[in-house]
Amino acid sequence: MKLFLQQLVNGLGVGAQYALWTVGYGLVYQVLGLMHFAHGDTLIFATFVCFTLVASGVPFLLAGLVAIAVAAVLSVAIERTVYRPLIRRGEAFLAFVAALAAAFVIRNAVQLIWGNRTRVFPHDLLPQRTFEVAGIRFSSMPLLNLACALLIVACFQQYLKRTRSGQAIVAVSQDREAAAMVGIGVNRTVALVYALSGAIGMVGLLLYVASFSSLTLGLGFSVTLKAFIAAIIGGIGSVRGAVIGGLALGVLEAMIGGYVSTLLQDAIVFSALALFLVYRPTGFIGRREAVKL
Amino acid sequence: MALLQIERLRAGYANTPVLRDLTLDLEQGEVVAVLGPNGAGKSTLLKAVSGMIRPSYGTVRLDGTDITAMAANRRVRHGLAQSPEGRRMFPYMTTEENLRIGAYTRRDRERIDEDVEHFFSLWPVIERRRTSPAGLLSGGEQQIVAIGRAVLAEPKVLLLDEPSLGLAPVLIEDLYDGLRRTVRERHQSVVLVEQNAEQALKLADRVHVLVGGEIVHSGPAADITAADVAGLYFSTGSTETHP
Repeated sequence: MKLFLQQLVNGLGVGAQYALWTVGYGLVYQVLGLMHFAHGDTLIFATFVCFTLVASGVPFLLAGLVAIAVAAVLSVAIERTVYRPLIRRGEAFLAFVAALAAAFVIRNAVQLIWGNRTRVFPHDLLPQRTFEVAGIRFSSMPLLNLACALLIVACFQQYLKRTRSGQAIVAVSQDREAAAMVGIGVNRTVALVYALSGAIGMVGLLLYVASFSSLTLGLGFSVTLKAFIAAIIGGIGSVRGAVIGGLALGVLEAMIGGYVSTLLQDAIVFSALALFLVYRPTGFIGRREAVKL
Repeated sequence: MALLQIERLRAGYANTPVLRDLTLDLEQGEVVAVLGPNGAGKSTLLKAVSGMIRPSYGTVRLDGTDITAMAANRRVRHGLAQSPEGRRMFPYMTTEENLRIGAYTRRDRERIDEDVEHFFSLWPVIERRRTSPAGLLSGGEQQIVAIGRAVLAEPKVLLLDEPSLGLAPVLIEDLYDGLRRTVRERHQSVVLVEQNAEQALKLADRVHVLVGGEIVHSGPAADITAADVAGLYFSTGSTETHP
């Protein structure tokens, strides 16, 4: 029971980060029908920028804001230069391949600028303490992660529901042509979606480095993959699905790590992914047709 | 000067022209119906006017501005809104959100609220589905919302693409009653594309009959009957028409 509760809390903490990575990823899929496989590497680039700033004495929260801006701008730049020309020509599959290519280009750029070494952030980026409930020790960090993620997602949902630009995003995601017919600038809206997906995802990565301190080059692909898996488990193209998928994935991993073996984590997670793709391709609450690459 | 001027418009797909040098005017406050059988080029005409397709030749002027090459979304700002073929609801947005998004180009929040309430007061049946996803509405209700959405843009010219298509006769009656009211209340200028001549002739001031991409008859709506129009559909020997 003790192990279960600890792993549950840890899993929810990590899952909260996954959820934030997935919200933007899923939104891009919903709006463009495109698997944004450069998502993770874009975020990693911005995280390295954050690292450099923190290492040179900039406060973490300020450096985090800069990283959020960098992630947003870089996401929009990729959409403009890589995806849009291909999507416009109806080359959805080529756009997917180009997304992979963009991911590698960004990763190599990171490698050139920052090298291959694992970077370690200071351990006190965010205040953290441990406390005991009923004889079980918990860290405050997972709870902070969860609170941050839920708050951001709740705000984001209200934004989509209540504001003019939010409703434009929703409209474009359901019918691009009809959106243009009511006067919505589709290209501008798509750019906004990319900016938001970068910004929200970046918050997830800031929580990641605050929790685990270490930053490696390979993390980028891992972020993309987790977002992909969480999106499918939760039901791609819905904000709520992204959150459920992210949290479910985090808890699943933590339970496997606690009760089975961390070595089998990926094997079991990918088996779960395969099962979802075969038996429930719309995820827990997905409403769209099955996922396409 | 006419509010909407379509001059020698040529449009189509690849090497098959669907419209051949079509010229058409719409005066302020006027309802012009374009009637024709399937495949006559009616929808193509509306799409070229609304900017969903690019004509290969010809011009479209709205209130004196040449909008032939303007992006579709910018035309809405210039005063053109449409209820498209197939209604094109945003299926997962609520009925009310679908209406409100029609006012996307407007900034006068309070008047938008009033207009939305006005719409719902006219259609109490739809009001009851206000917060349910528009995709769950019946075909007729979706058509009414699609028109309401276009009217909410406060367009100078309202484009209607086959509003009666696929609807039960009793609903068509209701729908056209609603349209008549909107036209009267707002002095709305309308280009109405229809296959159903009977209803369209009752609403329209002037009528053009389009067969095989060409206008084969133009004149006041009062001077022609639905039977005459149907006769024109079949009498003209175009390969693109079929009963």
